[in-house]
Amino acid sequence: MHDPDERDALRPPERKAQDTCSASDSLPLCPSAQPEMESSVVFGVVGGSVEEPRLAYLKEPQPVTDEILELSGPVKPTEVFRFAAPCAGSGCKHFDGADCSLAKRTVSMLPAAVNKIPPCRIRPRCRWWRQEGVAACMRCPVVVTENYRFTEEQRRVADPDQ
Amino acid sequence: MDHEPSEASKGRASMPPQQIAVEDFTQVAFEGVLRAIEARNREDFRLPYGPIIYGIVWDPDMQLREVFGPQGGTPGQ
Repeated sequence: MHDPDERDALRPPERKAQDTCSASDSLPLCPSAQPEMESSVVFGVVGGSVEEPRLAYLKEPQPVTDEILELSGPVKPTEVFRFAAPCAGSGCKHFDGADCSLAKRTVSMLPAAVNKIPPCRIRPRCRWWRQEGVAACMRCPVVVTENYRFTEEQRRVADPDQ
Repeated sequence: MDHEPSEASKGRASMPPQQIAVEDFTQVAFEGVLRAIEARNREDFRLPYGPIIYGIVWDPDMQLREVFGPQGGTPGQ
């Protein structure tokens, strides 16, 4: 039997219908956004180790505030937190006109990092999940938006010109 | 000399993703900062091209007001 998060994750993405909706609260969210973006929220904190980062998911995503950003101290907030914000679509170099190529490469080039679906509260609106399904969720916990420690595979996946 | 991992990063790599409450946010964030500092300071992976951005990468032709709020912002920072 699946817990509620797993049921959410296993539900087939309703990608086409949701992506064409004009209401801002149903726009897909980029799960590796920048804090300055409009409507950006913090949904996770990168913990684990340097070698194997693991995202800790907030039970309730929080709006970005100066106080939260200041918690990152001497490093950039994107080295510590994961932010979600409405997908920039063609404003982002990863968008190929229909899909997020970063999500595609993540699923096709990186191994699954966990064997249990993460307890993520943004999943219903996550572009990566809507596009790639649970396969994206299984790789999400190792994603660090701005990362000084990465593998060659991660570098190639992150490169929008790949 | 080999780098000794910090206490913050020892023994947690195999942990499955956790869910954290708002009241624990500050402590978890502090541990995250320690991990990030350690990542920056590891000599064995200081690469000449710096960090990677694993996420949104702005198209230079985009209209920033379509993405940022009225206060604006600085792409990629």
